[in-house]
Amino acid sequence: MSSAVVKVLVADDETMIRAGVRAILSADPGIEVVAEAADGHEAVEAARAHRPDVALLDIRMPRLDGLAACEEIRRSVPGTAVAILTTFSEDAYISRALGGGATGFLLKSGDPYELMTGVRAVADGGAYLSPKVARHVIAELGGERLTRGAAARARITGLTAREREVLALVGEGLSNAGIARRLHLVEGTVKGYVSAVLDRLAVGNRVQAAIVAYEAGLVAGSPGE
Amino acid sequence: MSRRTTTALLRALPDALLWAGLAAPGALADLAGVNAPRPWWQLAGGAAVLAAAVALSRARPVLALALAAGLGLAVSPSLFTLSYGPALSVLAYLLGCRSAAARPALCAFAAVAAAGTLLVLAHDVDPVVEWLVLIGTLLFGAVFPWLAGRYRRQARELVAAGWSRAAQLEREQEIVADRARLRERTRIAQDMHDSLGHELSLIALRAGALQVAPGLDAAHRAAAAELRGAAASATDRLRDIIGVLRDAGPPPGPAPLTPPDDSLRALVDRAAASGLPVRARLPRETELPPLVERAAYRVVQEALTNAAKHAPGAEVSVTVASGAGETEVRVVNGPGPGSAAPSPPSGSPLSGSPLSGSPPSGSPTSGSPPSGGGTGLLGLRERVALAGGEFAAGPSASDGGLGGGPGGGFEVRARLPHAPGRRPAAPRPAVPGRAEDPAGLAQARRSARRRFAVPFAVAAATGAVFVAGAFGWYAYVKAHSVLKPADYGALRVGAPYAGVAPLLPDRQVADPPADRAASAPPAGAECRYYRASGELFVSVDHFRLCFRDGRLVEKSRIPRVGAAGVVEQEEKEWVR
Repeated sequence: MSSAVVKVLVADDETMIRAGVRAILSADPGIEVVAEAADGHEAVEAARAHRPDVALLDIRMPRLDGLAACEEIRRSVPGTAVAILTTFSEDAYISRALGGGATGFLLKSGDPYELMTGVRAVADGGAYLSPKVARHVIAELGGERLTRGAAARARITGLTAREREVLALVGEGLSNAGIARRLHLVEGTVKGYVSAVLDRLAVGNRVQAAIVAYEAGLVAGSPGE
Repeated sequence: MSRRTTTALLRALPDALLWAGLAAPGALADLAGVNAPRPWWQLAGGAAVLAAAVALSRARPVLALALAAGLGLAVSPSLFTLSYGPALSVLAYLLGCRSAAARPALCAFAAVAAAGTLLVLAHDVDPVVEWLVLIGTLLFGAVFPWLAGRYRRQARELVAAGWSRAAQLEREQEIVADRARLRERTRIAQDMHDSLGHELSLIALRAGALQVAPGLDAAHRAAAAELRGAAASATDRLRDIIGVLRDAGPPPGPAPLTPPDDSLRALVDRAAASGLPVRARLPRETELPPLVERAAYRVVQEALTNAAKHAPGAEVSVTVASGAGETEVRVVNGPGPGSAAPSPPSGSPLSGSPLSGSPPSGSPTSGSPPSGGGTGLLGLRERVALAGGEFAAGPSASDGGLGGGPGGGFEVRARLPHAPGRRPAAPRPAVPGRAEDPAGLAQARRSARRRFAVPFAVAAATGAVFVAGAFGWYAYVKAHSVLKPADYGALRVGAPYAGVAPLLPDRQVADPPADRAASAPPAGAECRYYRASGELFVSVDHFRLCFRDGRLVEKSRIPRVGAAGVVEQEEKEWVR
C-alpha cells in the first residue's frame, strides 16, 4: 500500500496540538489526515467510521485515555495500526502501549520528519519507536533478557550433545522416566546424564537447570530459541 | 546573702526538718519519763548519728539505714525503741524511694538481723521473746517501709515512662503529618511541571510544523529546527524532574492517564460513571483562576475518594461556588452503611481509583492518584493553606442539602481566595489534641504530688492534733493531781476522810510509781497517790495516802527518781 495515500486519524484533547500535527503531516504529500478526535471515545468512533491506516493517539485524554483507546481500536478495527504520540515517554506508557498492540511510539517534541517516517512505517506494517523510546525499551525489556540469554548459552557450551538433549527435556518439565522414553534410554542412564548436567552447570536441582535451559533457548517457545 | 547560699540553705531545709523530726522522739521519750533517763551525752551522740544518717540518706541510703539500725541496737537488742524506731522506719522508706537496687538493702536487713540476734543471745534476757520482737520490729519497722518506698519509686518511674512514651508518640505523629505535607507540596510541584511539559511540547510541535512548512528559506528552516530541538531537550529535562518527584516506589509507578488540565466537570462525570451517587453544582469552566481550579480539583478529588472508600453508596454532594474574589468548595457525603463518620481516614494506599482517570478496569496507572494512608486530608490542608485559603473537614451535622437524609455524614470545606495574597512561609496547622509536652509532664507530677501530699498532710495534721490533745490531757491530769507539800504536812494520820477531803486535789495519779515506795502499803487500805509538784516532763515526788475504815492510816512520801536516800531522813524529821 505504499503508493496510496496514508490515511491518518489524529486524536488529542488540545486543539492546538491537533493543528500542529496536521500542519506537519500536510508537508508530506503521501499522508492525509482524514479525521480528528478530542478524546478516546471519539477516537474509537472515528476509527470505526473512517477506517484510517494509522490512528495517532495521545495518551492523556478525558473520558477514555489513549492506551485504552489503542486496545479498543486494535480489537475492533484490526486494519488500523496504532501509534502513540505523547509528551513524556514514561516506561509505564511504553510497556502498556506496546502490550496493547501499538506499533509506534513517538514524542510530540520529536523531529517532524521522524513523525512522517514513523507514520509511513507503521502504516506499512512495521514499527517505529523514537530513539529515546527505543532506548527505554531495550533497557527495560530486552537488555537484561539478552544478557541473561547470552550467559546461559555460555554455560551450556561445555555440555555434550546428549547432555544438551537431556537438559532440553528437563527444561520441558519431563521426569527421568519421560526423558528415558523420549530418548529410548534406560532410566538409570538418564539419571546419570542428569547428575552430570547438574554438576557441569553447577546448579543444585532440576528446577535451576530448567531455568538455564529456558534462558539459553533450548526449550521450545523460549526467548532464545 | 548570696543566691547560691540561699539556694543551698533552701535545699538543705527539708533534710534539716527531717533530722529534727527524727531526733525529737529520742529527746521527748526521756522527758516524758517513758524510759530510764540517759546521760545527755548519749542523747547528743544519738542526735549526731541521726544527723549523719539524714545527711547520707541521699547519697548512701543503705549506710544511713545501717546507722539508724545501729543506734536502735545500741539502745535495745530487740531494736524496739521509741527513740530510734521512727528514724529506722523513715530511713527505710527513704531507702526504698531512693535506691533501685534491692540487694544492698536486703544485705543490710540481714546484717541487722544477725547483729541483733547476737546481741539478744549475749544479753541473756529471755532470748526467744526478744528475738521475736527483734524480727517483728525489723519486719514491720524496716522492711515494710522499705517496700512502701520501693513501690512509690516504681510508681513514679512508671508515670515518667508513660509520659515519655506519650511524648514519643506525639513526635511520631508530627513526623507523619510533616511527611504528608511534604508529599502534597511534591504533588503540587509535580502538577506544575506536568502542565509545563505539555506546554513545552506544544511549542516544540509548532516549531516542528514551522520547520517543515513550505515557502521557508533554508536559514529560517534551520532556525525553526533549532527551536524545536531546544524545546525538546527542555521537555526531556522536565521529564527527569517529574520522575524524581513522582510518588510511589517501584517503577513503573503511577503515571497519569488524565489530561493535566483535567476539569472538575470531567472528574465528577468520571466518578458518577463509576457508580458514585454524586450530585454537583459547578461553575462554568472559565470562571476560576487556574491555581484555584487546581486546588479545588484536588479537594474534590480527595473528598470523593474518601467518600467512596468510607461511605460507599452514600450520596455525595459537590458544590463549587465562586464569587466576590473567592471560591468555596464543599463536598458533603451522607453516612455510610452502618458506620459513623470517620475522623482522619486510614487505609492502604489506593492503586487504582475510578476517580483518577483510569477506565473502570482499574489500571495501576492513574492520574494524580490520591494519597493513601489516611494523610490525604492533611495534604489537602497544606494545599489549601499554601493557596492562602481555609480548610475544614469533619463530621457534618446536617445532611448538606441532600434532602431528607439523616445526619452523621462527613463534610469537607475549603475557601480559596482568588488573589494569592498571604502565602505563609511554613504553615504549621495545629494538630488537634496536641498538648505541650514538658508542661504536661510537670503538671502530672504536680498533681501526683498533690495527691500524695494531701492525705499525708491530713494524716500529719490529725497526728498533730492527737499529740497536742494527748499532751494537753497529760498536762491537765498532772496539774490537777498535785497535793501541795504544805497541805501534805497539815494532814494528820488518823484524821477522818471528811476532814482530809477538802485538801485533796481533784484527781489522783493514775499510774503511780508504787515500786519506788519505801514500804509496802498497809494491809486492807486503799491508797491514793498525788504528785508533790506540778512540774511536767520531770520526775517528781509523790505522796501516798492510805485510808482504811474512813480514816487516814498512813501517809508517806515517794521520792522522785534518783532521790531515794533523802526520804528516810525527811520522814523522820517530819514525824518528829
